[in-house]
Amino acid sequence: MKRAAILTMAFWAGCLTTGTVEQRGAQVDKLLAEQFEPMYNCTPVELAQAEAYMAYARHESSEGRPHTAESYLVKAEENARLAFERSRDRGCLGDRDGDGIPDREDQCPDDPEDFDQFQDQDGCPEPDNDLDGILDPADKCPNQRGPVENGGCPILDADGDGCPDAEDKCPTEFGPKENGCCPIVDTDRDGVPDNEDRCPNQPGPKENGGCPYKLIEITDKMIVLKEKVFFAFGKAIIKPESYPLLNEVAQALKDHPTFVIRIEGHTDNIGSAKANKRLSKQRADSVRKYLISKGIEPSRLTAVGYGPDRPIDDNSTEAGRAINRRVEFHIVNK
Amino acid sequence: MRALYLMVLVVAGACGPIQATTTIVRAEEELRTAKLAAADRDSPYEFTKASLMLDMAKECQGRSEFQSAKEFGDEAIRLAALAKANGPRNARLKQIRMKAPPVPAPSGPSGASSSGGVVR
Repeated sequence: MKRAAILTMAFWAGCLTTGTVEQRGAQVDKLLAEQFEPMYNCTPVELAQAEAYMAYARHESSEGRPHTAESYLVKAEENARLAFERSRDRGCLGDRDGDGIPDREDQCPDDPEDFDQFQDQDGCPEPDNDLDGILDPADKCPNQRGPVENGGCPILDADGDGCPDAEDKCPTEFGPKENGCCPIVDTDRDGVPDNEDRCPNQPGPKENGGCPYKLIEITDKMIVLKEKVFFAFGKAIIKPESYPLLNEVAQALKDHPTFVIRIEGHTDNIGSAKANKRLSKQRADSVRKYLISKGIEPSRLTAVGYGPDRPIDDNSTEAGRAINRRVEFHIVNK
Repeated sequence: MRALYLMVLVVAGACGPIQATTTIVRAEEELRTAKLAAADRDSPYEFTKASLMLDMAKECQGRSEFQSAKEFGDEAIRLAALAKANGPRNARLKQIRMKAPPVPAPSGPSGASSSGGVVR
């Protein structure tokens, strides 16, 4: 009987002590839980010790060692008090969102800062740093605006030619899209871009595919020949050496399809004027026929023979007479 | 048969101490690497608590409370790992708190937020 009474008393003593640990421990737990974030930031060591000693106390209590439990409980309470008081004294307690930025400095005291290295001092989370409508976790470039189709990254166009770098064959050189976004190069500066210029290294009119006319020159009123058209002596047969010259005239007429030309034949004053006039007309006709054979529309060509009537030099010298024997191409209509 | 029974008993009886010892060794190693990572400076809460849990694990082992020793040891391991993981974030936060006045908040939308809170 006596033994049973002792056992009962010991049992109740144990229960009471366990109850005390639980009761006082609950108060410590409550304090630590309520102020965990500020104390974590301000007094982490005291907080850790308070929690650890509470764990010790519970363990000791559960193992039936109330006295050791009590001593650990006291330590837990002491550290919890220290953590609280020191946090309070350091002004840490007002941090509702627990982001470590005190409420008095926190522009969003109820939203914790996201600490993504973008405006981290203001205490506000920035779910979309660049405000491009794509939330940062899904944004490949969270600090640079960009469309969804590019993963939130800006579409780069280094040369500003309107072609995104990814599609730009020359990303650092301004150029139109139709040229692969590369600049239109005109090496010979004749106004004909190299990609359209048959002679990219020789300046020439657009009408001649960017190639120069070598034997002729087109002026306002004439196609000026740089060399003479040669005929068989006293005849209207064109010498083959003049074919390249007339071929270039034909090319010029093709390049200028609106040109209407008057082919003039001229002679010097040697011989009868009548015969000279007939010969000059025949020679002009020969040239006309040659050009027609090269594909020029006959209606664009007329042939006239002036004989010796319109000299341009002195007929008293051989040199002057040679100059007067000539074929001219006059532009009648542009 | 009796010998086998005895052997099973011996092996089963040795399981607890071995596990506890292994856990304590692991916890010590975790704490050592955490210290190397400056977690005692950057994560003082986790590091201090981990150290105290390890102390208690050793105390329990000394009393042959192997189950408790293992439990405290496991907690020490968890906290030491957390100390290492939280270190960089805590260091950044510390820097920010030491900086000058806060910058103005952006005028953009605000709502969804990732937690700046602490993993316990």
